[in-house]
Amino acid sequence: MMLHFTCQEALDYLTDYLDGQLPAGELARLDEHLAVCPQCVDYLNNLRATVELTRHACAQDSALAQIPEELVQAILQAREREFPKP
Amino acid sequence: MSAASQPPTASELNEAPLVARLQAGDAASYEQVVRQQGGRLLVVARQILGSEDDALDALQDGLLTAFKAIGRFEGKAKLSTWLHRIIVNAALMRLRSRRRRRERPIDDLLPTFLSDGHQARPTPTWNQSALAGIQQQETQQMVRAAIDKLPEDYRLVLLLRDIQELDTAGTAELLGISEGNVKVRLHRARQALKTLLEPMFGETLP
Repeated sequence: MMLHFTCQEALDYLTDYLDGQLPAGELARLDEHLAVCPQCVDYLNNLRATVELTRHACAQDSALAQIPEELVQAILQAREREFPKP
Repeated sequence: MSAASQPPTASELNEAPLVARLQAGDAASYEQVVRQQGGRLLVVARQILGSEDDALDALQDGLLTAFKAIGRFEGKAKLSTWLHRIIVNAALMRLRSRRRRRERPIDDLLPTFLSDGHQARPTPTWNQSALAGIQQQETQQMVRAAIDKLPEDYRLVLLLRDIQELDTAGTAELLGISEGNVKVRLHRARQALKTLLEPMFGETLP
């Protein structure tokens, strides 16, 4: 007979759970725990929201993805200097 | 470059002619790579280093390192993936050379448990607005500020896995740690970040 997860054990598996990497045995035990523990369900929901917020946290960065012209020139000149054409 | 799908290789993308021109020392092709890839790579360096000056230096160091090594590029990965890895390495080297800032121990931000394994404090329910503002700049800035408060070892794993979307193996290789360690640090980083975000999104319990 399988032992029930405690909250401590359940929380340890949440990242693998969210990433879809939890083996079937642990998944069944985690689901069983979540079915009876609203506190861990809240924890899971907040952790899932945290991951979503993290993934969007740098969404504006690509709009600023411009390399300054001086740096372009500096890199190209350094390349010419350091690695002359073979 | 997510773990779920195999990224196409340079050969599959027919980058071979560009790579051949780079390997032959064609100046116009180098300029093309710097202009097309530089901005995206600068973002990567900026995310790791925070400081704009350090990011610019890391980008220059990294691209010159890549150009020096272009003769050994075999096209097994996409050129942009190969460059990304080199820039992350250059940024990490620069980060390690800086004096480490004073950090809050991660344990302060992790859940605590009673002797019977139950959570020691209740988890606040996040209000509905937490994800509603996900596209808003103000929310994104708040989340970024919270990420910056994480201890460096954890912030880097979170950055590489959840923002730059590297897989566990690639993250482990870049940071010089085991895949198991990446998983542990990612889990703790997410938990700690959740704790830091709770005052912003959590509803006060009665």
